[in-house]
Amino acid sequence: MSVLKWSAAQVAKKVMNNEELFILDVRNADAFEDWKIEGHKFEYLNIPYFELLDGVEDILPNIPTDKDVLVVCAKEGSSLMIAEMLSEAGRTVAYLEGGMKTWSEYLEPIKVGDLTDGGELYQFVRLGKGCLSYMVISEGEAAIIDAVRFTDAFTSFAEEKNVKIKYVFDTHLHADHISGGRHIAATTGATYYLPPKDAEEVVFDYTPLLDGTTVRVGASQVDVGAIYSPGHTIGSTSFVVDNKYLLTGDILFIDSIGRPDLAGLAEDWVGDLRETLYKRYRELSDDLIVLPAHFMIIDELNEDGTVAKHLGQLFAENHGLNIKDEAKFRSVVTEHLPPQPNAYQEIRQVNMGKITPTQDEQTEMEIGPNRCAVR
Amino acid sequence: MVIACKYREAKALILRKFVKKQIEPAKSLTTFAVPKEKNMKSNLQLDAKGLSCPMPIVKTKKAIDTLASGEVLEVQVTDKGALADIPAWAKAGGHIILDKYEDAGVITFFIQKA
Repeated sequence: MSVLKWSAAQVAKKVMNNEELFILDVRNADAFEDWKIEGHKFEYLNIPYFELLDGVEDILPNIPTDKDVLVVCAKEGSSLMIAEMLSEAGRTVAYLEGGMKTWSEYLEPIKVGDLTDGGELYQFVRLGKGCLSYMVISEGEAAIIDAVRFTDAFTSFAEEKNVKIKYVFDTHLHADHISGGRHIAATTGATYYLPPKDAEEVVFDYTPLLDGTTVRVGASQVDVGAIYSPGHTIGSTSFVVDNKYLLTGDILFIDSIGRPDLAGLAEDWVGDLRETLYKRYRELSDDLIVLPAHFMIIDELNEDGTVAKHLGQLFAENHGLNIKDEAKFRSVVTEHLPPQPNAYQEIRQVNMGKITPTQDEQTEMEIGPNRCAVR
Repeated sequence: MVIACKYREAKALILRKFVKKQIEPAKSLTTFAVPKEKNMKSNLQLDAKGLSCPMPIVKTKKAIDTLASGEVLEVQVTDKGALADIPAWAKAGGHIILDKYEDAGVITFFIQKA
């Protein structure tokens, strides 16, 4: 039987189309428990490759023959070995090209909706890490919000759409992933905006992103306007796009809210987080469609693969927006927090421009889930 | 423009006092124990430097298969993946990691066969 090689893009299609898939994950148990390929209809078996060196006969009864089987490991080598062993045992299976490393880097651009006068809004879904970036397109121009470090994905998409990238924003200084914003701005001549309160220690030039900062994308009426909304970080800023979409950064997610501790000042910022979620956002229209910078679980994806929901619906359903008692809120967001994102302190240093790791080191730093939320 | 009005209202909200952030010093990605016994003896040495997953484990397993119970294998690897995989593999097979340390990117394990 043959061994098939699947790309991350092929696996992403399975996720987006709600297809069935059986994943044999041959990483060690800790790595699997920490982070895996999530799909609505995926089934899993986790057996580390080093327990299969003497043969795969023992696990054959547990591997279905009536659905696609994908073998996954960290970087590809072990999954290829196990896939070949299964093939010799008469099974047709696939392995994931580039392993979880490549999965973590894959970006799928999905159109969220149309904007005034022919404009478009795209969400770039990084399925493996749960990061969401955005591109606003209007009349030959583009603005990018919260770009991840795979900058080619954005610049080539802009070329494809025949638009010039004019504005690049980061809603805050990210702690879970390395920003591609500065690099995109440098290579395209765009203006790079960062909230000054998050940028006290950065070692590069940027344009301050302030409450009320507004840019117009294209000649017509597509505005991207900033609202200061601290709490995840002291500089965290949201955007209203075309009076229709609310880009919440890491403050508000679909099924959770931002955690205030990743810059080391949870106690100081919990009041800001409360104020943003329970006062500032309450003053906005319920009809705004919330577009966060992350998702945590696959259930947060809509049928079309986007991550988006009306603000009014989140006020009704999101647990983090419905904690009446302030003291209880304080304890929820400061106590018993999940572990921090992998290498989050180093990642902050990279985003400040203080250290410049190699590509391989950046990949290592970004291993694992984003962990920016508290539920 | 309902939202524009809301903007102005939001803008009127109190400006918070800026709190100076304390940046904790960056920690090394991985920390290693200093070797307990610098002159630890081994029965067999394996050089798996430069090999990537799964080869360090495949070779380690083959090497340990040639040893008798209680004997010690010394293995050197450079693949970061082996850092978690070798201890997990050893645990699954009942082997004991007597020591491990890193020197200039080379990770050395002393593994006693079960």
